[in-house]
Amino acid sequence: MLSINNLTKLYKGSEKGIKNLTLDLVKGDICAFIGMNGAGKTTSIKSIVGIHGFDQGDIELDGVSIKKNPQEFKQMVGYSPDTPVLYGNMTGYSYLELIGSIYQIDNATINEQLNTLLKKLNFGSAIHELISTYSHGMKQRLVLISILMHNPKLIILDEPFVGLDPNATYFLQEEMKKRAAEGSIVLYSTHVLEVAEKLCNKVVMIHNGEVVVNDTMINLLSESSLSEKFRSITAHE
Amino acid sequence: MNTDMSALLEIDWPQILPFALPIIFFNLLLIGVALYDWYKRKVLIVSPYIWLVIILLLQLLGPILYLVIGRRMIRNDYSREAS
Amino acid sequence: MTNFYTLTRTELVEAAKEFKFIWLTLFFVILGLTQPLITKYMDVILENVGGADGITIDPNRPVPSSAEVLLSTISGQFNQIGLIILIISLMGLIAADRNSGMQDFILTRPVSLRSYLVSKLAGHWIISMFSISIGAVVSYVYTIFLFGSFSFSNFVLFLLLYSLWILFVVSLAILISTFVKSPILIAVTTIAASIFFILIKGFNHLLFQLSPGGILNLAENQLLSVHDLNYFSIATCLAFISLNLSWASRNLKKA
Repeated sequence: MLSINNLTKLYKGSEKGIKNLTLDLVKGDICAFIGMNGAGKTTSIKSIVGIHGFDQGDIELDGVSIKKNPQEFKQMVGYSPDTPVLYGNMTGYSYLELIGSIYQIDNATINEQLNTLLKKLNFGSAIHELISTYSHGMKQRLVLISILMHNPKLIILDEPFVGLDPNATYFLQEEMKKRAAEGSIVLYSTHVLEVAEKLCNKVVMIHNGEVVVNDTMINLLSESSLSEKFRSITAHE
Repeated sequence: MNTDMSALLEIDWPQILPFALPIIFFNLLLIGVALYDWYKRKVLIVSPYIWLVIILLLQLLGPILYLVIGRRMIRNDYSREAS
Repeated sequence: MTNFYTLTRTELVEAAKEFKFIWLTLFFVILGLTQPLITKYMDVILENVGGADGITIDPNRPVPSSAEVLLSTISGQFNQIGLIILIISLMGLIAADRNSGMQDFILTRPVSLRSYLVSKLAGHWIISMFSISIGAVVSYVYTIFLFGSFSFSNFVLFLLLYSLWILFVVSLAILISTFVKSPILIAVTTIAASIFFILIKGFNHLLFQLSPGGILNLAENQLLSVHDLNYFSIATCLAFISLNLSWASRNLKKA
């Protein structure tokens, strides 16, 4: 399970950041991070995946703390940033090989995983072409493949549906459900509330760096729809 | 970077040429590499024709400056947009 | 350790695909060829090129020795214009990593900060030394051809010690790139710091001898066959390099 305890990260010289985020997710959870641009979603996500440190609190996954044991923690995480970052001079395949060797996955497993993932994502022969020739959607899909290869226990996606075509969107939603059913934890940030309503069982809303909603989807939907809730929170300005 | 060409004619070439030839050769090679890369990237980089002039006119430093700086100045830098 | 190997190899492959090995080598070869030639034919050039009317060259002036020419090539050309170009090319890669988010990519993988930084150091050092060595060897051949023989083993020893200086410069560039965001500022600061270290090594005081530039003194003395050598500066240079790296790693952790 993932337990985030009192996570606080404020950027120097500004009030922006995230304050006192406490969140417990168990295996099989799909959790949505919802909030306006600049509310603190990406800050929280970057803290959880270890891009930057944080001022207070701790993050543990199955008892492994990111502060004390960053490498072991990161081995269990798959993270897709909002803009895909890739080596343009590599082919998709050699990129995946590189990722594989960083996670110390052997080549047989890589190939096996690749065959299934590539087929589902309609990659075809493009995997052997240079990444710099890929479209945004293809880069997005390559990142997805690269973060699923090592079967992470925690999957974190920053706005994953942006730039994906309907087929890939469908694949990603199905894959999220499947991975959750197999015992992973999925955490993602989004602006598409209708999809989140169907997909997630937990929801966190962040406004101005503070957690305003931290509930199960069923509880929340019994009161109002996500969209109504979101508007009532942000209307206080 | 002397631009006074007439002075070049008065130098005792037969004496120097065997030693100067490799330098000229490598310089041309470097310009060649820079031009090849420039041609491939000319639609990508900022103000390509200014760089072309720099490559061709500034001896030694021109091609090198293009290769270390010019080729990285990409138009529409998405990476900067994201940050 | 496997991660270190993988990352270093990636770094080298990326540099190879950008022809960096080729053009950086060409640059140092041209630098290495030009200096001996100009020294040899200084009088001819001055005579023929205008503007030298007032200057007379003593016809009996001693012909410089191979060692002196090699020294002026390395500390005059490689360590000035060569170093500046080298640092500008370094800033490109390290800063690009930062700005493109590639650093984030590495930081979210199970890669220790140390292997990331050491792989950067190793990768760029190998690229730099590949080019510098070829340039220096070409210059060596040219110099002994024009000015007479010089011990090859001393030259190799010199090159080995000089490579430690380059290692230090690369580590300095890495450290500074963890402080400063703008690529141009990184380059300017690194160049200024390197030149500062080159300048203070000239002072004849133990403190300055132990500064990172001290390794350059030791290297240059290999060429001049000075026997009173201060090998202690190898240790201090390595200490400074690891200091730079741990400082850089602390900065990245904090950010």
